[in-house]
Amino acid sequence: MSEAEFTSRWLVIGGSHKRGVTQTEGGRPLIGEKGLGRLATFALGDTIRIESARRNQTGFEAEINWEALRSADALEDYEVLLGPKRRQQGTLVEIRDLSTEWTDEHTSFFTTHAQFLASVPGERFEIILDVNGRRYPVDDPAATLSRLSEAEMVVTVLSDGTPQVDACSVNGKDQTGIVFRPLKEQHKDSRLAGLRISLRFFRRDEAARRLKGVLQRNELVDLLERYQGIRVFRDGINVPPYGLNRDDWAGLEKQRTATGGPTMVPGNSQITGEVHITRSKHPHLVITAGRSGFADQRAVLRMAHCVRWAVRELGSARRGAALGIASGEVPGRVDEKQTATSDDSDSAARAALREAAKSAALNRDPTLRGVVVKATAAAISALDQNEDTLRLYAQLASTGIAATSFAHELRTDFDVISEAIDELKRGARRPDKELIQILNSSWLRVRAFAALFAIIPVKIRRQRKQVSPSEVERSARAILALAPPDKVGVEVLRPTRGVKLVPAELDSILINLVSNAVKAIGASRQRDSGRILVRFESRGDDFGVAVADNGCGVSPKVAAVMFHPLEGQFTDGTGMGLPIAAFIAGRYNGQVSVSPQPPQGYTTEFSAWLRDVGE
Amino acid sequence: MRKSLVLEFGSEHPRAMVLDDERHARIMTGRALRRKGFVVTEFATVADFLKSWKPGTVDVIIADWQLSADHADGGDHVLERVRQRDWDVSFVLISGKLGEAEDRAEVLARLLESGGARFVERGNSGIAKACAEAEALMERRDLALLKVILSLRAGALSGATVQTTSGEKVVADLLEEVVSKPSSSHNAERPVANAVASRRTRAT
Repeated sequence: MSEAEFTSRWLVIGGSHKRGVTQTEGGRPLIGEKGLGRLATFALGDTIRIESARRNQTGFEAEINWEALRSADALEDYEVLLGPKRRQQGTLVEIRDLSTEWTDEHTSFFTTHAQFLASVPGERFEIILDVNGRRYPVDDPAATLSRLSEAEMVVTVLSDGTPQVDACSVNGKDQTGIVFRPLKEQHKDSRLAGLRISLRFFRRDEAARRLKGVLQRNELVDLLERYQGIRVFRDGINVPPYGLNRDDWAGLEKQRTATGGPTMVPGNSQITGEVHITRSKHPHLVITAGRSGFADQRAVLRMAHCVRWAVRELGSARRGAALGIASGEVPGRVDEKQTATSDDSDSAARAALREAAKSAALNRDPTLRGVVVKATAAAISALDQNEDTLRLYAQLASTGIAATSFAHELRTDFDVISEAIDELKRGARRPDKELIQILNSSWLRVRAFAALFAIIPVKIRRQRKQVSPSEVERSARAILALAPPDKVGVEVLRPTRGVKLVPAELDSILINLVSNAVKAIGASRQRDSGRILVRFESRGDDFGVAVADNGCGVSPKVAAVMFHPLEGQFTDGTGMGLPIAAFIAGRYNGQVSVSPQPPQGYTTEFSAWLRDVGE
Repeated sequence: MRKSLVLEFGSEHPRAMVLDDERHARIMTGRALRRKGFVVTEFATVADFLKSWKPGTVDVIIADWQLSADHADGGDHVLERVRQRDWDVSFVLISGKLGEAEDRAEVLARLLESGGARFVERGNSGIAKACAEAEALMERRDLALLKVILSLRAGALSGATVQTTSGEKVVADLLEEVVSKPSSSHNAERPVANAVASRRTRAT
């Protein structure tokens, strides 16, 4: 600071350079308005000496003796020693004549707070702490975080609410050259102007490796909470921007009323950031934001949109880096390449083994032949095991998808049943017909859902078997029972001939396609008059499964990504249904596609073709 | 019904409206409320509900969140429309899907802004919880205002008119005026109490 700044800020007690400004741009009252904080130094010691200089300017030196100030007859009688002092840019604060004996605890306390003060995202401070001639290290928290991060992004919101990427790097390489998608117009908010969002992706394993296991997950969380003044959510992909857990609605309202208005995190208007740490397979994601609060809840929601946009774009930058793209468009995902490489390597291994088995040299040398036979058996076993694992995952995922797709539908039935039972328990008279009918109907839906889980584990056996037309139809009807009977009419056209396949895999395809149909109907105007048609078709040894619905249809945007994992248009889905159906069809050298012409009266039809499954 | 509510309503029965497109849930919620002593009207669609509902004539509304494919028909939007004309009625939003929805935060924010509203998740005795929340919200209403509402309600429901110093007025309009949103800012925890307080200030 300059001498003038020192005079106006330090020597006017109760004054503040912020005077005249009572709120931040976001509407939060400013802290430090009283301008008395500097007086706290006299609690530490009697004399304080300050040296300071701005860049390329002559500095100054000042000394205040609190004891002399206290004993002066009038405040005006005390004279502050002030004069020019040549020094480098920066500020030195020296406190002498300490009031208590200085201990290690004091040092630790001081260090922690100095680190906290220096942890403003995007700013850089260097603090040196010297106690009685001994220098104590004050870590730069921003540097610590950077050391651990794999990808970083700094975004500033412009005056019209448009976020602008100021910096973006992945593994140290600049990625600002890629094309970032624009934030949706309806999510822009000029009140966020000036907001800076700093994002970092962490890899837990990488962080642990780099720090040789010293910094474990919880320590990382502590570190971030302490330095950044931010709240941490674990496994929180969809955490609400309020910073509350799950449905703590009452807690939110209580906090909101207690604090006199909504803030980013109720109860602490200083905390404006949020941190997501995803599940173990994915990288850690840390989001930090500046320390200015918002009193307007809608501004907070807009900020959440902005943060989500930045997260998505940092994801694109990471994909770009993985594909070696540092400028231009980044394709939607990298899995295609990874999958292709993995499939190619499997096929290549099999081809190499086949070639090796034909080799004339092998026939001449029995020892060598023995070694190759052993290696072949081991490799095939490893490859098959890999496929088995994938198949098992597909099955388990199907079960999970069924659970997530229908769980919320069943919640109503659970409520109805518990209410009906409650009424039966307390009712003195015989239950009426309406109550019995409602109880039966809801109970049947829950049972149909439970039946699914009874079927799947039995069918999880991996052998192909002969499945008769009636068995195929029974499977389809069991799965269709999951559709709400009062809202969706179902029809099954029985297959004309049986097939030879793994029954669980056919079930899995049906579950995923039917689940999609139910959701499409739920999202359409036909949600109370839905229709699902399941039909089967045979062409030679090929077998087709088609599920048609009169739901909301598939937009071209969704069609482009719907077979990609974790994509899709339904918020209550997992984004894995169609990829799994396609994966299973692929195992039968078939595919899943959208029929260009759905049957009359239906909007969409998905078809899965399985090759060579004739009896 | 809770004793305090029985005392407050005296010989009158509190009135409730249930708005749910799930037939079974709607019927069971209605039955639970009737068992408690409410006079209940059930609706499957927002249009039917808005056609029948008049400000001040209902003590509590229990509404599902996802009422149709149209987003504007969500229970939270219904609350918004109700609050434009009735600042007194208690409102309970019930949903099994909201927990998984992307726009959950916006819905909850809308509830917060409206005041006098609660959210109940389906799946764990949701109907019983919704009814309990309804009673809890009603217990917090301003007693003085409730007496005024009850004295006007019968007339409002029958379409009666009344002579006032400023001429003949429709009772339903008078009731709407009583329960309408006060012009001054309110305390979300007790919106009605503030409404009365601000009127008294103006009168003096």
